[in-house]
Amino acid sequence: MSKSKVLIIDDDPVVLTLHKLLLKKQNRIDEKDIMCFTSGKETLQYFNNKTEEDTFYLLLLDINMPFFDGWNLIEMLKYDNLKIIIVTSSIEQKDKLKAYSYKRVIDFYSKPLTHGCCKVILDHIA
Amino acid sequence: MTLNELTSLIENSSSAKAILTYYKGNFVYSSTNLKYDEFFKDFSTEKSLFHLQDFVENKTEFKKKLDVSLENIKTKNETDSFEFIYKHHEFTCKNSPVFNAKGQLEFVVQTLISADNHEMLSRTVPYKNLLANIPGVIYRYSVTDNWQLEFLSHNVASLTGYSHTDFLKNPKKFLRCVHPDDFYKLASISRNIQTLEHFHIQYRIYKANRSIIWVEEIGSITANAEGKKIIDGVIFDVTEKIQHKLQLEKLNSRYTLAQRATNDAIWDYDIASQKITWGEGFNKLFGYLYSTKTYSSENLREQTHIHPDDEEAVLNDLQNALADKKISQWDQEYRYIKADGSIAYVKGRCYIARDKDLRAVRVVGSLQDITSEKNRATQKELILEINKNFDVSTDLKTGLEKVLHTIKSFFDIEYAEIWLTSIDNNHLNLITHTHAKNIKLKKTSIKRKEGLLGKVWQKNTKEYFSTTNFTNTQLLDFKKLNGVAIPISISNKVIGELLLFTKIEQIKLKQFSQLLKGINEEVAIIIERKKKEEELNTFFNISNDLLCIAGLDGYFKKINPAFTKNLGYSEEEILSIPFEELVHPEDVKLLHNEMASLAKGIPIFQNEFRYIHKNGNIIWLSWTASSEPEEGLIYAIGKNITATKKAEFNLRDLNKKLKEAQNIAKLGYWKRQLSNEVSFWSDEVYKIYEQDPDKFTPSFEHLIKTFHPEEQYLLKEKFSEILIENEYKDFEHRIITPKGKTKWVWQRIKLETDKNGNPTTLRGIIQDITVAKEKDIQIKSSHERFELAMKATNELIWDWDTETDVVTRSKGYSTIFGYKKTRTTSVQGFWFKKIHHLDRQRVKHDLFVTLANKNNNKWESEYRFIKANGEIAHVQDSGYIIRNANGKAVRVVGAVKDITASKRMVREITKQNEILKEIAWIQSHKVRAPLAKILSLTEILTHNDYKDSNLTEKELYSFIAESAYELDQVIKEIVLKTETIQKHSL
Repeated sequence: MSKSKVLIIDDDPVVLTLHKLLLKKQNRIDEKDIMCFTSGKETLQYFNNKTEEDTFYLLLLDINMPFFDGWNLIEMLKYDNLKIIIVTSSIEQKDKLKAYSYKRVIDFYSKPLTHGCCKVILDHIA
Repeated sequence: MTLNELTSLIENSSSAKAILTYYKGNFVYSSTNLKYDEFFKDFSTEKSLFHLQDFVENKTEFKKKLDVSLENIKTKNETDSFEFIYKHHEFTCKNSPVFNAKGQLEFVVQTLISADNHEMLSRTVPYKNLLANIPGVIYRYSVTDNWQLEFLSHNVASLTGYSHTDFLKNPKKFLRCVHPDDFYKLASISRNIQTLEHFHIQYRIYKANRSIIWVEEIGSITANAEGKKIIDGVIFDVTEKIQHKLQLEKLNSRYTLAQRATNDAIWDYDIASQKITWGEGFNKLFGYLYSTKTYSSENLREQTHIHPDDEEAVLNDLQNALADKKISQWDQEYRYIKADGSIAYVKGRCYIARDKDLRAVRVVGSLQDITSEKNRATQKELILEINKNFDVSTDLKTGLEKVLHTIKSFFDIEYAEIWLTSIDNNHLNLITHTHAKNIKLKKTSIKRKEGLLGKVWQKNTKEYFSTTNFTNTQLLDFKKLNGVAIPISISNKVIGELLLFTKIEQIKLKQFSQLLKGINEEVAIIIERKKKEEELNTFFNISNDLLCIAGLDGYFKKINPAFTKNLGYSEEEILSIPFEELVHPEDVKLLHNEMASLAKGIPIFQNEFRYIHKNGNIIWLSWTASSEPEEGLIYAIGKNITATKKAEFNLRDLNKKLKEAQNIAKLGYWKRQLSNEVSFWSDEVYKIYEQDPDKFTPSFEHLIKTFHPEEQYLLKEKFSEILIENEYKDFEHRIITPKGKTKWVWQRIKLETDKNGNPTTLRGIIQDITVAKEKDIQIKSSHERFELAMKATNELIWDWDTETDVVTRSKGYSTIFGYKKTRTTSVQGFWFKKIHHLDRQRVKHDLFVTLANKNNNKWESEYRFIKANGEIAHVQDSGYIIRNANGKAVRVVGAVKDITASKRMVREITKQNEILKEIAWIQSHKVRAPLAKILSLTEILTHNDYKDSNLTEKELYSFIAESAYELDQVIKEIVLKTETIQKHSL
């Protein structure tokens, strides 16, 4: 059986901590399978260096990040076995429409994430 | 033995014999032989009536003796004889019986034997033989006082018809028989009897039957012992000889006269004596003076004067004819050298006389000068050959080349040249010659009067010359040639010259140049004909019209290239098919009709037929043709009138269209001769006036009633006051139709005058312009409305006539933009100059592109415009394009709106929008980020979710504080932005 990992990408460390906490609280995923990245660049480096094969990745991606935003990361990620869920503070419809224009984006959430949201999110790796 | 057999037996007997047939106890004379007949010939010429008993002196006694003799034969069956006296001579009649096979008496052969014969037989054999062989009468006279006839042979009876006894009884009887004209001959002998020893005379005597015969008497006179003169002589009948002689003399006389009279030369060759007698004709015909002199055959060859080339053949042929015993006539044609050295063609004919052994002993012949005939034949042959040289396909030069070679083949010519006069008749040009090709001739063109040829040209007479003095070094072998330059003329006009060079003597050259005279005429005719033919052929070939000779058999015989050009078929194709196959099927019947006329010799003139071009197109040809029914030929000229026909059809179509157009345009034509009260109206005029052509007469009286009362003055005025002579003048007026309807018409009228300036005709066109006029009125009203609208609006309304480039602008031009002049004559010259330079090219380009697009009727643009006070105004300009029937923009009506204020407002609103957008973004992202964090932290704290983690409550509260501070900063930023918007709004 292939593994699943959840990658949380947000420039705000507090947000990373909180989102990881909420996911962990669901008890459906090991902490070690929740990874946090503060920038798109850092995330890309991870994918470039990763060794595990047959791992499914679920990315919780913030859009508004300095220098290398979420849109850039979506464009540049070449790894196939992954899905993306946008988690942003934006409530603008245009951001939502843009997010859904990418095939790999499967969901869109405006912050803050709730337990209910986390439950649905983790259903994607069940 | 039959009677025939018996007759043949006695026929050749030397004795006088007759056959008597015994029939029923009687004897009948059946046949006699020649001797028997001769015995009695003096007494009867009718042998068939001859009966011996009729002529015997004592018929009764003879009959009695014959009856007794025949009775004796009947009884004794033996030969029986009796004697009788006939003409004072004693005869024995010997009758011998002939029996048939049954032993019955059938015939009696009767033989008459003279008693004299008996006497002669008793004499000596030599004398008997002498008497028997001498054809004449032998006599002896002893000359005394009375001439005594001592002896006279019995054949005197056959000579004279008188009996021997007659002469014995009367010795001078013979003298009485002599023809009086010849008596002197005998008298002469008588007179000279004493001196003469011999005599030989011929004279005529009368026979007993009074016929005259010629006799020849040869005698000798001797004297006997007593001194008496004895004449011994013999008299021969020489009638035949004399007659022959006389006839010969007569013939000779005739021959001499005939020789003189004939045009032939007669010769007589006596082979035995080897002598030839030449007749006078040789002098007359050939100029030899030997007349009838006689020449020996030793120099025969020299005397024949047969042309050396023919001599051997002719003489051999004659020798062969003489040797051939069957040939009695010999004919030959050959050349004969005349005394002057010229050559004559002769036809020789001779008759060969042969002896009994059929050896030729004499030849009499004639020479007939057939030079003229031969020349005519040669001329004819030459002309025929020359004509052959000019067949249809031969051009003049080639034909003349052949002519020269033909002449060369006929005559002994070394070289020949043909010169022809130039078209302008100023030069004589060498056309062709027979010199070697590498010979470069010194002159090939000469002027009139120049040199020998010029002289001949001038005089139109031939010139003989010798090449001895020729200086042309190129022609070395010209030396010592004789030549002749012969003018080739027709109707005394020299059209060229024939130049001949020969080695033969001048006399012969003259002879055949004479021969060429007729030929030159022929050549002249041919040259003229060929020149004309070539000219004609040139026209024939270059003619754009179709020229042809066709047969009544339905085929073209000769066509010019225009056929191929016009019909697309090759010449071979056209000539090989009946011409009706080229004709449009619908016109074939017409063609047959016209062919029938042509077959009767009736010409056709400009008959039009459709032909089918090879590519299938229809070609219209107009034919003019005449025919020669006897020759079965048609001579025709065809003109391609396809273009004319098309034009005609187009014209018809145009006329139709014109009529339709007149109908549509409601345009009519009228004319009035001023001498006539009534005008001519076209159909459309009646329609315009709505008058019935059958009922309405367009007279002045009727016409004035149709005019609107306010415009009737037009008809009442004098023409000269309202019209200018010979110029068109336009009028618009109203007419009232019979139904009372008012119509507007436009008329263009011209008053025409004669050469003296007197008005003669009124001519005009009339058009119903009611609809246009009504529209005009509507337009006028519309225009007025437009003018009012222009005054009322705050926009600048403009009306641009693109053809005149005149722009009419509304008041807004001055009120909005500050310019005073509302009408200017140039868009480009003014308006474009006032457009901001950064916009000018774009606006200009857009406008003209739109105008050029026939499908676009609206133009819009925004640009900056320099106002009169120098301010820049933003304007929105739009125009509606009016196009003519061809789609060309003729007018543009538009409006210019000053949008400077609204433009500025939009800019500000846009700016505000930007700020608002930014605020919204801040709200969306920056405000919600800390807020979301606070909410999330609050949620965690509320549910104690942090307890299973390494986070402390304190940490969480510090996170909340940080997020709240962050939120506060964001709100301050928004407030600041909002203030900025407020500032812009103000």
